[in-house]
Amino acid sequence: MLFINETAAINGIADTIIKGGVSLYNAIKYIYSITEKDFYNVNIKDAFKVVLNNITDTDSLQALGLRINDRTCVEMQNEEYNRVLPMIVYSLAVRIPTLKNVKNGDDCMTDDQLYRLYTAVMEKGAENYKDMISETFLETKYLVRKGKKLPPFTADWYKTYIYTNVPSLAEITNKNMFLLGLVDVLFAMFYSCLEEELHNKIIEFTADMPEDEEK
Amino acid sequence: MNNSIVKFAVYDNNNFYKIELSKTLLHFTEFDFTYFWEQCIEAGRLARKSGRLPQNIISNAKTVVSRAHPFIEACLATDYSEVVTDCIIEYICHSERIGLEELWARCITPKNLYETAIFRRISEYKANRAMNRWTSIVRLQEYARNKIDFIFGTSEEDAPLTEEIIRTRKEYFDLAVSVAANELGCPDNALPSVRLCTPATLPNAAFAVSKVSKAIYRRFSEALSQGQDMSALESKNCFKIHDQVAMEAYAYVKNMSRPGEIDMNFALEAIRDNPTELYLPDSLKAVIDLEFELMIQRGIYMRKCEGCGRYFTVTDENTRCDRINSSGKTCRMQYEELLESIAMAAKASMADETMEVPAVIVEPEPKQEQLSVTISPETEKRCQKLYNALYKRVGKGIDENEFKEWSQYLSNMKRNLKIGEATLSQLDEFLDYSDRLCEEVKLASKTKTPHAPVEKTYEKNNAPAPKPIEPIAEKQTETQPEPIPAEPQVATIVSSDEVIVKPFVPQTFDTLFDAFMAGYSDEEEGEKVAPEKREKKHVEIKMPQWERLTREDAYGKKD
Repeated sequence: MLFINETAAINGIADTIIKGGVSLYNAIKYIYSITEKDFYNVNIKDAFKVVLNNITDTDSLQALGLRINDRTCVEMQNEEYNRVLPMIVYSLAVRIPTLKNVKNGDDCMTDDQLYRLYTAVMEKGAENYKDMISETFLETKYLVRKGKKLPPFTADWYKTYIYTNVPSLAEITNKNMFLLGLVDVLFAMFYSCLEEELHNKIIEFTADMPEDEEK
Repeated sequence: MNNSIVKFAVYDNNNFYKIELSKTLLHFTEFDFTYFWEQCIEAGRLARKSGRLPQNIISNAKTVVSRAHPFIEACLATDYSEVVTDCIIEYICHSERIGLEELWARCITPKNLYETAIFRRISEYKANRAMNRWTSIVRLQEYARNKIDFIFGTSEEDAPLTEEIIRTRKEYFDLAVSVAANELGCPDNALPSVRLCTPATLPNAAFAVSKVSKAIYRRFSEALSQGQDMSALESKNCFKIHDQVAMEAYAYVKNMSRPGEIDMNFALEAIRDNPTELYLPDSLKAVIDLEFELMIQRGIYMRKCEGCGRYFTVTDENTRCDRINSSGKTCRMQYEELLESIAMAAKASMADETMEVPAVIVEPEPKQEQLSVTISPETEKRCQKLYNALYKRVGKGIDENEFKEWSQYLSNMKRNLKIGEATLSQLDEFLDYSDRLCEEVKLASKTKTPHAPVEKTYEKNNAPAPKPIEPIAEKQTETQPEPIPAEPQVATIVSSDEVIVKPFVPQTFDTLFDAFMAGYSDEEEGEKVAPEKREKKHVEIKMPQWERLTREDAYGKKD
């Protein structure tokens, strides 16, 4: 794909992916905090609407009175759980080859551009801790190139990880059962919205450049 | 201590506020929010252009709304801090005919601070963390007005409301709300409530009475620092374990001895000026209800002004308020002036009457000295009440002429009492009659029909009614009535077939006077009179005999 400033475009798209990962990570915490004392006050559908309409900024959830702190999310305030953030970013990064399907006319991102984007994201802190995520960049690239359907973006790896590595969340409690249910829905919906956001971003970078030059 | 002032505190505020019973309520119910509303609309209009809410207009509008009620003032930094945003939201929804959900969805990805403010506020509504304070104020104003009208309103101004009736009305009103809430499944703790506290038992007592609290903390800081953290209870329902929680806290200070004299004096100085009784309402409705309750407990009532129709605090028997109206005078002043002018007019008419009397009557020396009677204040008051009651119903239960007649009678009766020509018992009888008349008029005014006739017992018992002084010539004809002549025979119809009609014969008269009198009599009857019958008519004309009469001769001897 033709970008006037390719480096800036790749960095910008990488930033969006990173921000998306952080947002998903925070959204899980925010929605989990509902179970503390707002179970019947906050409509989870409203929380989802806010998250999905603000893919890169989940702080809007604070408007619903949700807070992330040691009281509301004490089970998530530990080192083991903190590893989830780089893993979420990794899970998004391995799906970068799907951006090849974003077309600007007949133009689309090259394999080289996609790989540089993947590298940029990985350099910013993505990590596949204990190989929890089975998908890889190459596998996704292969599936895209063959035109095959990708497996859905699920929270399976997330649940496996907390069962095996985060005892405070693996315990059977009302709050933890709520968490397991919410991530199943949230991951799938969030990825769908993030894809759309990335498409817009890519188109934006291709469209914006000539305007900048004019200025 | 002023009986009409109570103090209250609010959550998240260490200051104490006061309510002037009945005045605060009346002020709130009559508060005009137009300026506040206009300021909010202006703020919203500017915010749409600039993307941010203009803080100067907002602070101005908040100052305006805080004047409506002390509770709003107390909570201006907390519950009512977003009242302007609430008003703007209400205005947008109303003007664009959209719901909150739609407005929220519009602002879900806010583009500027203005949209963020709206999004955040509606999100708070949705999460039950806030409500639209502006609409709440408006609804509570209406609630307070309705409650005042329900409790103190009356269609029978003359029947004073008793304490029992007022209390019953208030309880009935509150009960109606409770029944509605109960039937709708509203939980008990969701309704507004007021706690009676002292400054030391307030939830934020440690901050409200901070000086003494610090001294106490210094005594127990070591034990408290090692104590169990109870903050986790905040997220739990402690409704059933209040005593347990309190005793756990008390356990850390149970060995407390009384402090030394210096510390105690220090505490005395700090606590001396604090109120001994402090209410802790959790909402504006709770304060309004509290004010009603305390008003009734302390005998502070309201009455509807008969002049302007607005309620005012009852201080005496006056039925008009002290509000200055468009004429620049208070309703009370206007009424007093009206009464004065009526009294002046009555005096003037009396003076006219007394001026006319000597022209006709040559006053003889009274044969017997008349003793004037003073009317007691109670009787005067009774007369005034009756006058007011009937005056108000002129055109409703009593027609104007009848009222004038009645008031003239009363006026004459009073005058006669003063000059010793009537007795108090006569007046009492007349007032008893007037009471019955008043009752009938009240009933009639309700049903909007003419009142039932009331027997004039005072006339039976007292033959000479206290009529105004009339020219003696008229009186003379009354005292010496002419004998009523036999009615003349007219054409008689025996049956429909047989009608006896006498032939017409023109009348003849000796004098013009006879002719005139005969014609007058015929016209009165309206029927033709047969001439032969007319001859039978006996008309006796007496020439007027003018002679001097005494008052006794003219009016008859009084008792």
